[in-house]
Amino acid sequence: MGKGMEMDLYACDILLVDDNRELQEMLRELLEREGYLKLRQAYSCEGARLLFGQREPDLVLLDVMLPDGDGFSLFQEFRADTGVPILFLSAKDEDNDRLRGLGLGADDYITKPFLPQELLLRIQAVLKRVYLAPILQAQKEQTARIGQYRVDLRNAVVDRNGQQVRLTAKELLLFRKLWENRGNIVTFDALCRAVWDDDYYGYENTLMVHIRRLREKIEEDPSHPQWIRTARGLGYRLEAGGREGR
Amino acid sequence: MKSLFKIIRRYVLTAALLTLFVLLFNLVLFSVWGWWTMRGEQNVATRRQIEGVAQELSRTQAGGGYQMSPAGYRKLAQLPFSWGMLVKDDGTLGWTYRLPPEIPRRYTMADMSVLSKWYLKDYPVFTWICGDDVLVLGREKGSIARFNMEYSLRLIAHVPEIFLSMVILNLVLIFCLALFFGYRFYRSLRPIAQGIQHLSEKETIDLPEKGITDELSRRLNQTSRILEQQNSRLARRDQARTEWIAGVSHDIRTPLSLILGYADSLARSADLDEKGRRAAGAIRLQSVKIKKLIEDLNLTSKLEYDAQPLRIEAFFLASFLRQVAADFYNEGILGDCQIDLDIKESAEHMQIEGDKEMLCRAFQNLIGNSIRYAPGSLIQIRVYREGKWLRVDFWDTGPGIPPEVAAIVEGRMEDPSIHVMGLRVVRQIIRAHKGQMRFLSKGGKRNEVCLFLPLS
Repeated sequence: MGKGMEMDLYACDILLVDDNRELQEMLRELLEREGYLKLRQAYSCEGARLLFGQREPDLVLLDVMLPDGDGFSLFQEFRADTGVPILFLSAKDEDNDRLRGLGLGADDYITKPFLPQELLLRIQAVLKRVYLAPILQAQKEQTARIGQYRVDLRNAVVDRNGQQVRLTAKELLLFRKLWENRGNIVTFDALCRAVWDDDYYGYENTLMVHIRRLREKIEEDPSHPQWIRTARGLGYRLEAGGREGR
Repeated sequence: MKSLFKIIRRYVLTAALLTLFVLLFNLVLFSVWGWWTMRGEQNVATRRQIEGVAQELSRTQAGGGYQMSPAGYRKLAQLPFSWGMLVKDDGTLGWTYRLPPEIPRRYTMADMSVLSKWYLKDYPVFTWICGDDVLVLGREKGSIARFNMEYSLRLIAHVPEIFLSMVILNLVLIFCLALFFGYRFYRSLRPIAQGIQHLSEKETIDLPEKGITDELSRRLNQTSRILEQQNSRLARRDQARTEWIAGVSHDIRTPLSLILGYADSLARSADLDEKGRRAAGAIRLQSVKIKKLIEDLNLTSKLEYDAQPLRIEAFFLASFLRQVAADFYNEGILGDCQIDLDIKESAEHMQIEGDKEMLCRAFQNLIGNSIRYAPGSLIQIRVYREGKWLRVDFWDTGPGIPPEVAAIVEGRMEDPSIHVMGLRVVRQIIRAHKGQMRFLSKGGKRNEVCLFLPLS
């Protein structure tokens, strides 16, 4: 993968290690159809070491049970002097194995049988986190578009078509949490935790007050909220229609 | 141990009562026997009767003789005496009655003193003073025994106390003896009782095979060995079964991955027509079901044989359930269903201890059931505190859980044609958390699942 600014995750070099050739074939088709083109395949620890030595991949998808060794030790070898992201893909779903894999520092542990879409999403998530996040961090989202309004996440200011409204620190924390999870319900507990940290119990009523104030600032009609929707008994959801903006 | 003590207490009490009963029985027996042997015999003459006879004696006109009136003879005949005489002041006889020949006709003072207390020529005799003379009445030889005994006055004066203290002393002695033997009995039984207790707690026992309980100990040791063997056989079998299921489910994973992968790619393929894609989608959906079934099968077999370790932590159930419900919405797998999560104030800040992942699985199975069998329904979850429990009620507006499914899950019925794996896993998980799962039917139709989880 080119390490320049123009990130193309599909150009990542992915090493597949699994002794089952049919499964390898299926994985290759799946990944190729998705657009990943640089794929290399190994069927044993030995083969994997060879390919790894030739060129360090950008991501390794590793089976735990291999004919000439186990994936855990191979993982430790690969990780000994590189930080390459590694996902386990294993037929062992014992909690112990899963915890061992994640405990070693694996980026994910996926058990067979897996949903193809889930596998793709997880691979993508890891690639994004490892290769895109630093860049994203640099050009961190600064503005959220909520309908006609824009929320400046750095300066805690809502631009209501020219009218500037300040957000308090707690309102900003709340909004950030909702924004990061836009389209999804965020539970009362998760919101309270985001604002008041671990010691968050007993703040539910205060949370309602803050949400009301936040609605007054970002909703056109706060009594009929279009953006921050209440999920009764569960939490709040920021509608996914919001877009990132400059 | 408590029951053993009870046995011993009863034993001591029984021994004391038994002794008392035997004593009383002897007393009664003696009295009855005495009455029986003396019955019908005129054995004793009272002082009054003897005095009555003496009064019928009168001096004759001539000389120093005496005579008995006819009434006196009649009275005498009714008394148990066979002969009689009156010894006068000077030692001669003033009156006689059927006097046996061997009885002397003259008496000295010494003779009188002896005969008044004992026998005269082996005849038991009784004396009565008539003026200056002495009336002597004799009975047949060997008819009665006469004792002349002397008692200390102090002794006589204290008879009630002595009698009472004898009784008390006896009782104390009996009690002590019973206690002593009871204790010995208790001591010899104690190892047996302990052994039985250990057996019931599934421990292995090895009792000393001696004393009066050697046979019992031997049998118990034998039982313990048999139980141990059976337990280890069962454990081996359970383990083998769990491993077998784990192995099968492991081996099935890779082929299923392939089916799932290719079905998915076919369902998205542009090379297939709509019908073909739908068929591939169905294959994918069924494969996902198989995947879920395998996971449940593996988990249920592990939970069944305690092979599933739980990672216990304390957490707030209300917060946890909100997250589980929110995840269903966020992942978009609710279909047309809605979740109405109603957490009562009493349950809001209550912690439980449990394995979050396992419990999450349980709640997912319950909600998943509603999604599968009652599409478009409102899934209602109510959480509240009930004493030491947090209670979670589940129901949906669909047809409810068939009674036979509830019966099978609760082990009240068996029917291999009905598959209840998901609910069975829920029940096992709840039980592994020392909780309970119940089915409540209301109005005969709707079945509500109630979970009880212990508060930490």
